[in-house]
Amino acid sequence: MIEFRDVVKRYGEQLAVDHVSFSIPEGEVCVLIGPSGCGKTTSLKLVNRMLEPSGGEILLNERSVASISPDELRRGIGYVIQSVGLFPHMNVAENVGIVPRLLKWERARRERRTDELLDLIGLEPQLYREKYPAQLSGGEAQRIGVARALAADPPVLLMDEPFGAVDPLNREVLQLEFAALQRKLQKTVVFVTHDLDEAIRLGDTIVIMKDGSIVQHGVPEDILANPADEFVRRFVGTDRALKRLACFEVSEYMQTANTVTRHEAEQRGREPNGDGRIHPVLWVTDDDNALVGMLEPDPDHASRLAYRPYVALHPEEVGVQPPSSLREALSRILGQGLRAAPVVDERGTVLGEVRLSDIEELNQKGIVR
Amino acid sequence: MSPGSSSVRREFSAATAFRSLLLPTAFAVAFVAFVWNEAAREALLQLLFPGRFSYIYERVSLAQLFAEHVALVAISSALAALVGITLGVFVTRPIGRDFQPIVQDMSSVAQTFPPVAVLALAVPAIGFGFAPSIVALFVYSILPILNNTISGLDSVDPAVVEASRGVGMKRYQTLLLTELPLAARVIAAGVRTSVVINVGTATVGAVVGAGGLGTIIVSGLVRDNAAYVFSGAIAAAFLALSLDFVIGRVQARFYDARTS
Repeated sequence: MIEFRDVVKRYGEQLAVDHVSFSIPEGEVCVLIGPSGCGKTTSLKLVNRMLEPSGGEILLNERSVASISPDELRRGIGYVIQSVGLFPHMNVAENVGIVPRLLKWERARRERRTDELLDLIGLEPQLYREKYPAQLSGGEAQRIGVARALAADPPVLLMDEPFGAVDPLNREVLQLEFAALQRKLQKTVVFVTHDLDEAIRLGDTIVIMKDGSIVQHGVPEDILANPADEFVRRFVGTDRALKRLACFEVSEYMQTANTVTRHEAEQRGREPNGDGRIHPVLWVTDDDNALVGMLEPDPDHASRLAYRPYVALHPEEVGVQPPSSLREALSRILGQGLRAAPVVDERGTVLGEVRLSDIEELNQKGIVR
Repeated sequence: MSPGSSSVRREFSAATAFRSLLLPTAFAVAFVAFVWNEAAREALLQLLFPGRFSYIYERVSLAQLFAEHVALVAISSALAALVGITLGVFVTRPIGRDFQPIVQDMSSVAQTFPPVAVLALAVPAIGFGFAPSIVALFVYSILPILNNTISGLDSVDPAVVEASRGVGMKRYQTLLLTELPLAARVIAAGVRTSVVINVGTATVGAVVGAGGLGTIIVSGLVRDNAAYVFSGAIAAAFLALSLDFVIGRVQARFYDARTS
C-alpha cells in the first residue's frame, strides 16, 4: 500500500505539491491526471525519492520511504518513464536484466528471468534478446520498458506517461495489454497521464490534480457521473456520458440472447411467427454455434408477427467480447443500426447480447447533472 | 535471402578485409623489414640517397630507438589519459562543476607552450634524460583527452542518466555503467588524437637525451645526413599510423550515438 500523508513539495516560492493526502490500496492502479504543471509527475517522483518532499511523508507498506536508502528503494520499485527510458548502449536482455544485475543475481537466473519477461510481454526472446533500443519500434521499446520495471518482481510500479510517445493506435494496444498484465500480476501502480481515456481504461481510482492539489479522487464512473466542480467538469469534457460507458464491462450487462439455426431462420423469414411471440432480435448461428446473421421483426407485415428476411452479419463487425466496454458495445449498436449487440467469444459463438435499452437506462441513472 | 544479395555481401566483406587487414599487414611486414633488417634498409636507403658515406646509424640500432620511442609515448599517454579522464569526470560531477572553467583554461594554456619550452623548464627541475621528456609530453597530451572527456560526458542524454538513477544505480554505477560507456567513443577519439600528436612531439625528447627516434633525426640534421633523418621519420610515421589504426579499431567497438 502507498500512502501520501500531507505531502508538500516546494520549489522556492512555488508549491508544486500542496498538502496532498491519499492512499492506494495494494494491487490497485491509481491514475494521477491533470493539466501540465499540476504536480502529478512531481508526486510520482516523490515515491521513489527521485525528488524529496519539502513536508509530509510517503508510506510504502506503513514504512516511510525516507527511512529507506534511495538506491535500495528504487530497486524495489518498478519505474517506467516516457520515451527514452532504455539504455541505448545495452541490448534488450541487458536492459531488462539491469535491476537483477544491480541486485547481484547470478547470470543464469538473470537470463531465465529476462526470457520469462519477454514471453510475458509477447516478444519472442530468441528474436529480441540481442536487439538494441535503436532497432525497436516505439511500441516494442515501451513494452521492454515495462518488462524492465517488472524484472525484479517489485510489488509497486511507477509509470510516468509510459505510452505517451506512442501513436494512438499502438497506444490502445499497449493499454489493453497492460490492463491484461495487471489483472494477472496485481501490482500496486501509480500511473501518471494526461489522457483521460487512458485513465478511465486503466485506473481503479483516478486522482485529478490542479495547481498541486487534489480536486477529486474516486473511481472513474463516479468522477464522470458526479464531477466535483466546474474544473473537473470541463476537464472530463462534454462527452462524459459516453466516456463513462467505458467504465463498464459488457459481461456485467449481458442478457440472454435468442438464437436460431440458419435453416430455421430461412423458414421464419418467409412465414408469420407461429407461436404468437416475436423477439426484438434473433441471432442466427451456423452448425458450430457461430454467429452468421440475424432476424428482425418486420413492422410492415400484416400480422406484425413476422421477421424480415435473414441478414448476414460478421461477428468481428457487430460482436463485442465480454471484457469489452459498454462504450464499444454502444458504438457497434449505433454503427450497425441495431437494438442490441451480440456478445461473442473469439470463435464467434454467441454468449448473449447487450441491449441499447439497458445502456440508456444506465446512463439516465448515472449522470446527475 | 536471395543468392544475389549474399554474393554482394561476400564481395563487400572481401573488400573490407583487404582494406582493414591485408593492407595494414603488408605495411607492417615492410616496416619490420626496414627497422630490423639492416641489410634491407641499407639497400633501400642507397637507392633513395645515392652517394652517402653512412646509411646505418652505428651507435644505437634503429630497433632500440623505436622501442625507446614507444616507451616515451606509452608512458606519457597513459599518464595523460589517466589524469585527463579523471579530471574530466571530476569537473562534470556536481562537486567538481565549479572547477570546470579553470581546469579547461589551465590545460589550454599548457597546450600553447611549445614542447621544447616545456623541456627547457623541466630540465633544470628534473635533470636530463627520460623523465623531463615524459613530463613535457604528458602536459602536452592532456588537453584533447580532457576536452573530449568533458564533451563526451556532457553529451549523454540526461533522461538516460535519470533512468539509471531510477532503476536504483548508485552514482558510481551510473558513471561506470551508463555515462562512461556512452561517452567512450568521444573519449577514445581524444586519446587517439593525443597519442598521434604525441608520437611526433616525442622526437624533441632527443634534445635532452631522452632517446627515441628523435636521436637519429637530430643526428642526421647535425651531420647533414638525410638517410638518418629519413629512417627516423619513417619509423615515427609508421608508429603514429599503427597507433591510430589500433585505437581506431578499439574506438569502433564503443557505442556510437550517431547510429541510434
